[in-house]
Amino acid sequence: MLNKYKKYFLITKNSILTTATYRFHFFFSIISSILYFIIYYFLWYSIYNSSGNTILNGMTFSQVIVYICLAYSIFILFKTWTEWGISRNIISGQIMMDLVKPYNFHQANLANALGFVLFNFICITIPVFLIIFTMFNSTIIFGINLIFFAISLCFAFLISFSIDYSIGLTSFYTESIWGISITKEVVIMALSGTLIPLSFFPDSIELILKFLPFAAMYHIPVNIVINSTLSILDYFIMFSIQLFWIIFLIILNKYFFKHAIKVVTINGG
Amino acid sequence: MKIIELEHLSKHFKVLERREGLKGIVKDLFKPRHKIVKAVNGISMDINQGEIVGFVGPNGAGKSTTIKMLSGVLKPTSGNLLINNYLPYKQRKDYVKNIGVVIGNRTMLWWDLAVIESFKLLKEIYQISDEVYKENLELYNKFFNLNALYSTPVRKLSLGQKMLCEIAASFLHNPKLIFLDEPTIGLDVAVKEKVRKLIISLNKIKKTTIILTTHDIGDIEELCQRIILIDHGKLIYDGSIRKFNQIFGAYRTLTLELGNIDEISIENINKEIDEVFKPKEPIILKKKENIWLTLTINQDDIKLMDIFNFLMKKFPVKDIKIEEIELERVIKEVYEGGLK
Amino acid sequence: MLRNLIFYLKLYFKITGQYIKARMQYRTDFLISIIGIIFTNIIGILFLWVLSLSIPSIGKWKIDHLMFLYGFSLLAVTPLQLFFDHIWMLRYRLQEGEFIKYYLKPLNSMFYYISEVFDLKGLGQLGFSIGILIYSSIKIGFEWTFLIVIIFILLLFSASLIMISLMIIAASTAFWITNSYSVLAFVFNFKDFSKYPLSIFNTIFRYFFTFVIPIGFVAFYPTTLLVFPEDINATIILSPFIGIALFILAYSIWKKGMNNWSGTGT
Repeated sequence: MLNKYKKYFLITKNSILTTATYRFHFFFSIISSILYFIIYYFLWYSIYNSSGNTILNGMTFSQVIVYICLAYSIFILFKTWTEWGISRNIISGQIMMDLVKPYNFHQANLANALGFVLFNFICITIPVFLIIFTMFNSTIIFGINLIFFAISLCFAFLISFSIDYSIGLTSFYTESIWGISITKEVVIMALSGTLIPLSFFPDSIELILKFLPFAAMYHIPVNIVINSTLSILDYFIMFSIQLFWIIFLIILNKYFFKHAIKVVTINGG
Repeated sequence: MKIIELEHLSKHFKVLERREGLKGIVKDLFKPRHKIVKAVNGISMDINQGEIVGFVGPNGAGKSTTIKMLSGVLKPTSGNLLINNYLPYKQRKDYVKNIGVVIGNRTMLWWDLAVIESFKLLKEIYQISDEVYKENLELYNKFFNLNALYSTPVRKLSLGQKMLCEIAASFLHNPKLIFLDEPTIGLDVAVKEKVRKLIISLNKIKKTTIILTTHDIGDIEELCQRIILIDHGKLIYDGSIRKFNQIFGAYRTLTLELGNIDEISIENINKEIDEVFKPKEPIILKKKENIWLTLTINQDDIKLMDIFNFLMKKFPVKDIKIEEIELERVIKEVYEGGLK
Repeated sequence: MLRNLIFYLKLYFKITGQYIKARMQYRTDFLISIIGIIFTNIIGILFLWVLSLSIPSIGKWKIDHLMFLYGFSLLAVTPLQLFFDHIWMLRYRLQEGEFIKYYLKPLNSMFYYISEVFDLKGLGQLGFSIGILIYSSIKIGFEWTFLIVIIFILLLFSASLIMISLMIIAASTAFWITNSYSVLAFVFNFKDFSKYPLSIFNTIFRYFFTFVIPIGFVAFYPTTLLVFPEDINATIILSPFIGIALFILAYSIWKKGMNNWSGTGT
C-alpha cells in the first residue's frame, strides 16, 4: 500500500526541490503580495472613508482587509502552474514520456502540485498569515474554527487543483492555453471573493456565487476565520458544497482525460 | 588581398567563482570572488579574399569566442582586428552588411515562415537589389534545385534541407565573408556531401571568403585550402591543408575485435611489430574492454594491409574498423612537434 | 535619418505581415486569447460596478470617472501588449542561445527583436479600451475638442512609453539573471496600480508612484488633467520627458545587457 504511493512522494519531493531553486521568484512573490495588500488597503480605506459608514454590507473595514488578504494569500498558495506544466509537456512532446510511465497521470500531477503548495505554504503563506494574524488579531476568531479552516483549506486545494488540471487537459486540443488560463484566473478572482467580498454583490448574485466552486475555494475558508456567527449547520453546508465540487470535478476530469488522451494518440502528440 | 587582419587578439572573461552552501551564496552576494579566464590569448593571422579556412580546435579551445569577435558580437579585450576595413565590434551594423553567418544547430531564418518568405525579408533587411536577388535565386536553382523547398516553412524542413537553405540565405546578399559554424553537424554522409558541394561551388563562383569551424575532418579535407588550429586560446598551427594532409592524412586507426585478449600483452605485440616492420615512428596500441585492439598507423611508414595480415595470422580476428585520425589526436600530435 | 525611419517602418510592416500570416495557422488559439483578454477586462469593470453598488464615489471619483481612468490605463498599456510582447520570451531566447542572431543582422538589435512578434490578442484589448473610453466619456459628458484630442494623444504616448520602458528594463534583467520571469511579472503588475486614483494613497506612496516608479503618469495624472483639469498641478508637464528619459535608460540597459551577455560564451 505504502509502496504504491512511494513514487508519488518522490514526485512531490522533486517538485519541492525544483521550486526551491527559484529563490528569486519567491522573493518577488512576497514583495508582490505586499504591494497588492497595500493597494487594496488604501483602496478599501478610501471606500469606507467616502461612504461615511463603518459597516458596509455587514462588514467592517478590518474584516474586509483580512478577507481580501487571506483570500489573496490562498490564491498565491494554490498557484501550482499545473496547466502550464501539462501544456508545456504537450508542446515539447514530453507528454508521451509521461503517459508511458507506470503511474496515474492525474495523481502524478496532483503530487507535483502538492510539492508547489507545500513550498508556497512554508515560504509565502506562513509569513503572510503571521503578518495578517498579528496586525488584525481582533478580527480573527481564534478557536476550534482554525482546525475547520485547515480542513476546508485542504478541500479548497483539491478543487483548485481539479480546475487547473481540467484547464491543462484542454491543451490537448489547442496549441497554447494562455487565453483560457488567464480567463480562468480572472473568473476565479472575481467570482470567488478574492477581489471583492461576496457580500458586496447584489443578494441574488451572492446566493448563486456561494454555491459555485470558486467560492468554495476562497470564500468558505476565509469565512470560517472571520465569521463568528457560524452554526453547526453552516459548517455542514459549507463542507458539503466543497465535497460536492471535489467529487463532481474528479469524475468530470476522468471522462475528460479519457477523451483528451484519444486526441493525443490520434495525432501522435 | 587581405580581408581579415588579426593582431594579438585576446579575450579575457571575468568569471564568478561560486562558493558552496547557503553561507557561500551570502558570501558570493557581498564579496564575490572572480577569476580571469583567458578564452583567447593573443592570436594573430591574416586571411585573404576567397580563401576557405578551416578553424579547428577541441571544445572550449576558444573557437567560438574568436568567431564571435570576428563577427562583431563580442568586444576583444586587447589586440587589433580589422576585417574588410571595419572594426567589427565598433561598426557592427555596417560591418554585418558584408558578412553572412550560419550556425549549425540554430536557424537564422524565420521558423514559421516559408523559405522564400524568409528570403524576401532578407532582401529587405540587406537592401539587396532586384538584379542581385534574381541572379542568386537563379543560381541556386540552376545548380542545386533549391526552389523545390521554397514553399515549405522552415520548421518543416529536414535538417539537411534546412542547412542548404541557411547557407543559400547567407550568400543572398553577396557578402565578402561567411562564417560557417559546424555546417554538417548531425547530417548523414550523403547530405554532408551535398552541403559541402554547395559551399565549395558558391565559394568558387562568388569568391567569398569562408571561415569554417568544424569537428569533422572530412569537411576540412574536402573544403579547406588552409587550416588554423587553436587550443587553450592559442594558435598552434596555421598552414596549408597539403602539409597537414601529408602528415595526418596518412594516419589511420585500425581497430580489431579479437574476442578475449586478456592474455595478450601490448608490449609483446609492439615488440613483435618492431622486429618485423622496423617502423620509423612507434605504432600506438590500445586495448578496449578486453575485446578491441586499436592501432594508430602512419601509412607513409608501413602499409596498413601488411600490419593487418600480420595480425590476422596471429589472432582470430572477428571484426575490423578502419578510421581516419581523430581531431584530439591531431592536436596532441601538434603539441609533440608533428608539424614543426 | 528620415530615410532610416522609412526603411524601418517598411521593414516592420513586412515582418509583421509575415508573422500574422504564419500565426493564422493557429486560429482557435487566437480566438481564445482574444476572448481571454476581453474577459479579464470585463471582470475589471465588474469590480468597479460592484463597488458602485455600495458607495457612490471614492472622493471625487464617480464610477464613470473610474471607468475613464480604467480605459485610459488599459489603452496606455496596449502598445506594450501589441508591439513588445516578444520581451516575455527573452529569457528563453537567451537560455537557448538563439539570441545570437540579433547581433548578426544589419539592423538595430532591439528593433529586430521586437519586430518578430506582433501580439494579435492585444487587438481585443485595443478595441475594449477604446469602447470603455467612449462609453465613460459620454456618461461624464466629456467634450472631445481638437485641442483635447491632441493633448490626449500626447499624454497617451508618454504613458505608453513609460510602461514600455519599465518592461524593457525588467526584461533586460534576463541578460544577467537566469530566472527573470518574476521580475517581469512583478513590473507588469504595476499596471494594476494605475487603474485606481493615486489620491487614495497616502503621501509617501503618492510620491513613490510619481517620482520613484512613475506609474502615476500611466493613467492617473493624464486622466485627472482630462476630467478634473482644476485639480492638476504642474507635474503633468514632466510626463513626456519622463517617458522619453525612461526609454533612453531602458535602451541603454538593453545595450549594456547585450554587451554583457555576448560575453558569457555560450
